[in-house]
Amino acid sequence: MTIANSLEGFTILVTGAAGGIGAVTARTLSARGARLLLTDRDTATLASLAAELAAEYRVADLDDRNQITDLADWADQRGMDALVNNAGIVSMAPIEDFPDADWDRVIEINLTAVHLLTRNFARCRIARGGGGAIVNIASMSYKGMTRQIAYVASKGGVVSLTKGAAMELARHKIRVNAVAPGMTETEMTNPADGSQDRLRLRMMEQIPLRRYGEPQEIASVVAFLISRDASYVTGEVIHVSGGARL
Amino acid sequence: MTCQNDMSGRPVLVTGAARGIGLAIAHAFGARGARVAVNDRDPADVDRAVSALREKGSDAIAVPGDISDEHACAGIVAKACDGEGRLAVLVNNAAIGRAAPLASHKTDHWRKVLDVNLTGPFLLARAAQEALRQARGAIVNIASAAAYGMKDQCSYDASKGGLISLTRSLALELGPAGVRVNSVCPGFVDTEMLKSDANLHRHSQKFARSLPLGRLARPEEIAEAVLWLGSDDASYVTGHALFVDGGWIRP
Repeated sequence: MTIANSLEGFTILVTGAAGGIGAVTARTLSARGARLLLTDRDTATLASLAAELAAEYRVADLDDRNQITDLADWADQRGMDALVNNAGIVSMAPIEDFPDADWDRVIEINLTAVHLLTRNFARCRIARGGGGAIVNIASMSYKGMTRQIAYVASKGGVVSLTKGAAMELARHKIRVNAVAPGMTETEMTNPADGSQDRLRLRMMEQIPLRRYGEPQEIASVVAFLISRDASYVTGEVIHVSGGARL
Repeated sequence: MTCQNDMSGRPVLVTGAARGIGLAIAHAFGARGARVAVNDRDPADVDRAVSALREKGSDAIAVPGDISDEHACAGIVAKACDGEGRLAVLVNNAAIGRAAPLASHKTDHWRKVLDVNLTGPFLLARAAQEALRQARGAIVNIASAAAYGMKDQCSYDASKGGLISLTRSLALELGPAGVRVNSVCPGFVDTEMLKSDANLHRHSQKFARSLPLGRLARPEEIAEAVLWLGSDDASYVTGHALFVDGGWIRP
């Protein structure tokens, strides 16, 4: 019996590792044999996840460019050869009222930080002879979504960045791909108070698989894209949306 | 260590599996424990592939037949299913194509290409849908980066573009039953067929150097993507066209 999708031998930096999808992704990558380097703003959750996975961690704020450089150096010293750009924030407001400060912060964390981490990852890997994989967590909202224009634009930017970086870094044997989740079961989309229940039922009617995705179902796509099984896949954006918004 | 992509005992049907990409797909599923039904037109070719799979310790059966023939499809699916009439994965891989510019692209050739490459997958999906629903299974259609257009291949390109659209349509229809439908779009793949034509092989090697990854795909690299889409690791992925093309198209 062959073990597919094995991540033995990989050392993977995961950003936003304390979040819903981030933590499940970290657990999945760890269960498949990868060594993990974790980062987030949320110290307490990060530390307990790192302890659970016997992983190293570093607290960083991705809207601080100096911290990103330090983070990349820290990860490089620990042998990072794969990067999961998962950290992201959203800000809700109609376009006509969208605050400048929110636009700047969303673009900085969701797009600029992805570029900076990609740049630093490329520098480190090229200096070590090349090779590696990057997976960016985009979102199906890059196709358009209401009341979150900065998020939509940032994720569209991530999709294009993925394709551009894939072209440019392929000669260094670095593959770059993205995952675009649709509606996913998290505390945000399914709060315990049931306030989203009616919206959920309406949304599910629009999803061919008639349910939201589990974080685990995003994580298994990330694992595939990092693994050697995806050795000829680069510049791809995999929609993990239950068929919604095809 | 969790064992991923486990297909133990699951019935899988692969068309055009006597050689090339199809055979690599059959091997990938077989290596993960699937019961692989090997389809191709020529029974002798199918028997050879089945023997090759069994030599590797895989569970394989022969289901030869012409997938562009409606009646043959029913029999192929029936033999591929398990005892409870379930089919876990249908891989529509069989395809034909020959380059010819528009002026000399014969009508018969056009029809034959559409018959095998597009009507065949439609017929098999229709014949297998109940078995796939029973298994909450998956269809993986082997389309092609050629869906975006390659010179002198109008029938092939149109058939593959149609297959991507068929994939999306079936994903919408079968999704509520838990059946996922996706396509894999290979670019140039280093198969025996490609190597057998010295001119084509030279041309594709040259072309491959212009790709971001700078090389042709190995058949196994297509097969791993197909296996992944057929497995539970892709349980929330449906209607997607996964390009396994070294960064060529980036749709």
